Amino acid sequence: MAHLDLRGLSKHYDGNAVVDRIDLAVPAGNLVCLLGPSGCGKTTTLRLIAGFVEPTGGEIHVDGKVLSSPGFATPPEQRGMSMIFQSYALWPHMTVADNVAYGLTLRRLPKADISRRVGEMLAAVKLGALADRYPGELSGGQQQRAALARALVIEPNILLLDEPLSNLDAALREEMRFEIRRLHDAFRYTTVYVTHDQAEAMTTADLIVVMNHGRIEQAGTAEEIYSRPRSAFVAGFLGGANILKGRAVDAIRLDVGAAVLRCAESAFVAGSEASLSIRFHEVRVHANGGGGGGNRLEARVVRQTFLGSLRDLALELADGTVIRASAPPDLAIPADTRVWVDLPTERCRPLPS
Amino acid sequence: MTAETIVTPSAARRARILGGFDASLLVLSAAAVLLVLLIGLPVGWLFYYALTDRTGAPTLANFVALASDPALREPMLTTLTLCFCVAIAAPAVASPLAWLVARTDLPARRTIRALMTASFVTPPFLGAIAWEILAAPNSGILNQLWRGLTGSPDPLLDIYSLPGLVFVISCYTAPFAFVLVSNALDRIPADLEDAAGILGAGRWRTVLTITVPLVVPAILAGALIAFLQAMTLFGSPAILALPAGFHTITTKIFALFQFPPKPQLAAAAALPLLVVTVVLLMVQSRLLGRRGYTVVSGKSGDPRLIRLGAFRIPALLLVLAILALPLFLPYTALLKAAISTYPGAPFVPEAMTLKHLRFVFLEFSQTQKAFWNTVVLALSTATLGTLLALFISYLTARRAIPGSKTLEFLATAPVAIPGIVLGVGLFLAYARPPLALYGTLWILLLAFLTIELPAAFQQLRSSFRAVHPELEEASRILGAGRLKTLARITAPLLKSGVVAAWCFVFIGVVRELSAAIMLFTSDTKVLSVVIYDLNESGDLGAIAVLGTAMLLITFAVVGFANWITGVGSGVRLRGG
Repeated sequence: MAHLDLRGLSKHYDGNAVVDRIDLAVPAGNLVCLLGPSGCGKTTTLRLIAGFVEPTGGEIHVDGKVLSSPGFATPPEQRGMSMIFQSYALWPHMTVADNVAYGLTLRRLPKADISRRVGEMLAAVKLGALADRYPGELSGGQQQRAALARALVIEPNILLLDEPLSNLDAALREEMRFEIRRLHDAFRYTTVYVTHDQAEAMTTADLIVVMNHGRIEQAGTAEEIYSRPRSAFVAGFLGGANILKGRAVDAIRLDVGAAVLRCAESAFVAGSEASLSIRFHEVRVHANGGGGGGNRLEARVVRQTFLGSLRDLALELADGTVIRASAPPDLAIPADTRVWVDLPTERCRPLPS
Repeated sequence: MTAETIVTPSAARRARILGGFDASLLVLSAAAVLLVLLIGLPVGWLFYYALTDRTGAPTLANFVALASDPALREPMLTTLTLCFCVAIAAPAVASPLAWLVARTDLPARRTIRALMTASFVTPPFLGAIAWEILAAPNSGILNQLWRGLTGSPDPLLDIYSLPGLVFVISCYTAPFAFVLVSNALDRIPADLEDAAGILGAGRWRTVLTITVPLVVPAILAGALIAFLQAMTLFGSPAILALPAGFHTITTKIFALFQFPPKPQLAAAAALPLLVVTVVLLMVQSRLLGRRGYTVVSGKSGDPRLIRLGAFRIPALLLVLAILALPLFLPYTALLKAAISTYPGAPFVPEAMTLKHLRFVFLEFSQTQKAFWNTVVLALSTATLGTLLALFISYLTARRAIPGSKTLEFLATAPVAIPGIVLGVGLFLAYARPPLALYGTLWILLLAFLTIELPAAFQQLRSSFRAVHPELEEASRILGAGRLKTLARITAPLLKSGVVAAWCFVFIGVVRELSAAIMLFTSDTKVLSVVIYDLNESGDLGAIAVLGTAMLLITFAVVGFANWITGVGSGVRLRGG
C-alpha cells in the first residue's frame, strides 16, 4: 500500500495541455475514480502515473519519493504498480495461469510459491477451473477476471485500471463493478480507476475526481459531488440537472429572466454573471398555484413522457427557457397545460463564475 | 379461386430454385471452363507426361531416373541446400530489421520501410545480373577495386558459386519476410507490451517474452516464403549457377527442354516443385491464421519506442549497409554499366559513353519488338485479370451464387503453381492441336493471367470486404436500385482497390521470367527474356540500359498505385 501524490502534474502535446496542473493526493488503501468524458485527460493521467508517459510539468510522488518529473521518469517496470487495460492485454500466447504467473516469475519467486499464489488468486477471481485455457478461449467476463488476477497477484503498491469494464455487456458490467469493489475491500490496494461511467464511479470509489479539459473540476465522495456540484459541468455530468443562467442580484439571489430565484446558501457576487443548478427530480410540479413560497414560477407543459417509475416533463418558463422535471408517474398532465413549479431554495445550488 | 391460379408451394419453390440455379450454373460453369483452361489442362498434361514414356505407355521410369541419375539428383540436392540456406538467411536479416523499424527510435524509419519496398519490386534476375557486374571474379567492380587496393591477384568475391547464389536470392526474398514481420509487429496492440512493463519486465525482457513469441508465426511464414522463392526462381540460378557449372531444379527443367528435348523427365522434375509448394502454402496459412492469436480490441495507442541511445547511429549505419546489398550497390552498378564503356571502367568522362543506349534503342532489332510484346501483354493481362478478379470477388464477397467457395479456391489455386512448372504445363498442353497456341502471344497471356490472378483476386477480395454490405443496403433503402447502388456507392469505394490490382498485375507481367522462358519463340520475346538472352552473350551494357528502363516502368507504376491507394501497403508480387 502506498500513498500517491500528484503535484501540479501536466502533459502537453504540441503545446496543447492534455493534462493541466493536476493536484491530487490519494491516501494509502483508497480507491480513487477519475471520471470524465472522453478526451478529458483521465487516461493520460493514468499513463503518467504508470510511467508510460513522461510529464511536461509537475511531479508524481509515491510514499514521498519522486517517480516522475519533467525529463525524468522511473520506468514502469520499476514502479511496483499493476495495471488493467481496457483491452485486458492478456498475452494470447500464454495460458491464463502463465499470464498470472508472469509478474511473479519476474520477481524470481520459488516455483512452489508461484504456483500456490497463482492458484489462490485464480480461486479468488473464480477462474480456478480455467487455468490452462488460452485467453482466446475465454469469454469477455472471464478475460476480465484473468486480467484482474494478473494485476493483483503481484501485490502491487498501486493498482491502475483503465476503463476496465467498457468491453463488457451491461449485465456483466454491473456484476463486475461490485466484484472490483469486493476485491478492493479484500486486498485494499491504493487504486486509481479511470472511467466515463458515473454509476461505475459511484459503486467503486472512495473518492471521485471529475475531470474536464485536462483539469480537475471537483473531487469528493459520491454524495458530496452529487449533492453539492461546484460547476455546471459537474452538475450536468453526474445525474441530470437543470442549469439556469442569470445575473446575481445579491449574495443569494439570481435573476434568471423568468424570475428572481433564491438559493439557501450565499455564494454570488452582486451584479456578476452566475448560474444555479437543480436536479430534475428536485423540481416540484403543482396543478394550481395555491400555497408554497420561495421560488414558485408559472410554466407550461411542453411535453410529458411516461417512463415507468417516473414521468419526465419538459416545462417552458415565462421567458421561454425550458427546464426538465421528474414527476411521480401518477401525475398525468397533458401537454400545453399551465402549471406551477417549485424550485426549493435548499435544492437550488449556486454555481458562481 | 380457379384451378389455374393454384400453384402448390412446393412447385413454386422448385421453380424458384431452378430459376436461381440456371443463372448461377451458367456463371459457375463459365468460370469452371476458364479455370480448367488456365490450371487444369496444364497440370493434367504435366501429370500425364510425368507418368508415361515416349510412346505414351504408363511408367514410373521418369521418377526412378529422377532419384537415381546423378545428373538429375544433384540439382535437387543443390536446390534443397539453397532453399534451407535462404530460408534461414532471409528472415534472420529481415526480422531484426523489421523490429528496428517498428519498435525503436531508429532515424529515418519511414524511408527505410519505403526502401525495403523498393527492393521488393526489383526483379530478382535483374538483381542477379547487377551482382554479376559487381562481383564476377574477373570483371566485377568490387573485385577490381579490391585488387587495386590490395594488389592481390585473387578476387575478393565470386558470385558464380552456391554461396553467391544464396546471397543474391536472400537479398530479394528478405523483403517478403520483412513485410510479414513488420506487419505482424504493427498489429500487436501496444497494451500487450505495456502490460509486461507495468508488471516489472524491463524493455529487453518484454521483447523476449512478449514481442518475439507473438511474431514467431510471421517469422516462420517469412522463412517458408523464402524457401519457396529459392525453390522456384529461375532467373537467378540460371544467371549465377550455370556459369559455375551446377544446376538447380529450375535450370535443369529448362535444360531438359533444350535439344534433344526430354519433356517426360522435365514434367517429372516439375511435379515435386508443385507438391512442395502446395504443402508449404498450406502450412503457412495455418501459421498466419491461428485463431488463438486474436486479441480483444480496445483503444490502444502507438507502441512505446525503445530508445537506442548511443546505438542509434551505429544501428542506422548497419541498416544502411544491409540496404546497400539489394539496393544501393546493384542500382549504382546498373546505372554505371549503362553509361560506361565497360562495367568496371573508371568513373571518368573518357570512359563514359552513349553507345549502349544507342545500341539498345536504335540498333538492336529485338528491343522494339520486345517492348511492344511486353506492353501488349502487360496491358491485356492487367485489364483481363482485373476484370476476372473483380467478377469472382464480387460473386464470392457477396455470396451471390452457391458454390462461391469453390470459385474462391480456384481463383487462389494458381498461387501454388511455380512459374516454371506452369510454363512446362502450358507448353505440353498447348504445343499441340486443337489448341496450338505455342508460338503466339496467346500462350503467354494464358500463363501471365494464371500467374497473376491470385494476387489480383486477393487485392479485390479485401477491397470488397472493406465495403460493408450495409453501405449498399443504406443506398437501396433510400431508393437506389441494385445497379445504381453499384455505380454510386460500390464502384467509387472499390476504385483504388481496382487500380491497385491492375498496377500489381502490370508490374508482375513486366518482370515475369520463369514461365516466359519456357514459352517464348523468336517472335514472342518479352523484355525479361531479351535481358536473359543478352546475359548469355555477355552484353552487360545493353542489359543495364534495358534493366533500368524496366525498373523505371515498374517504379512509375508502383508510385502511381501507392498514390492511388494511399500507402504502400500489401504489395503482392511473385518473383520472376
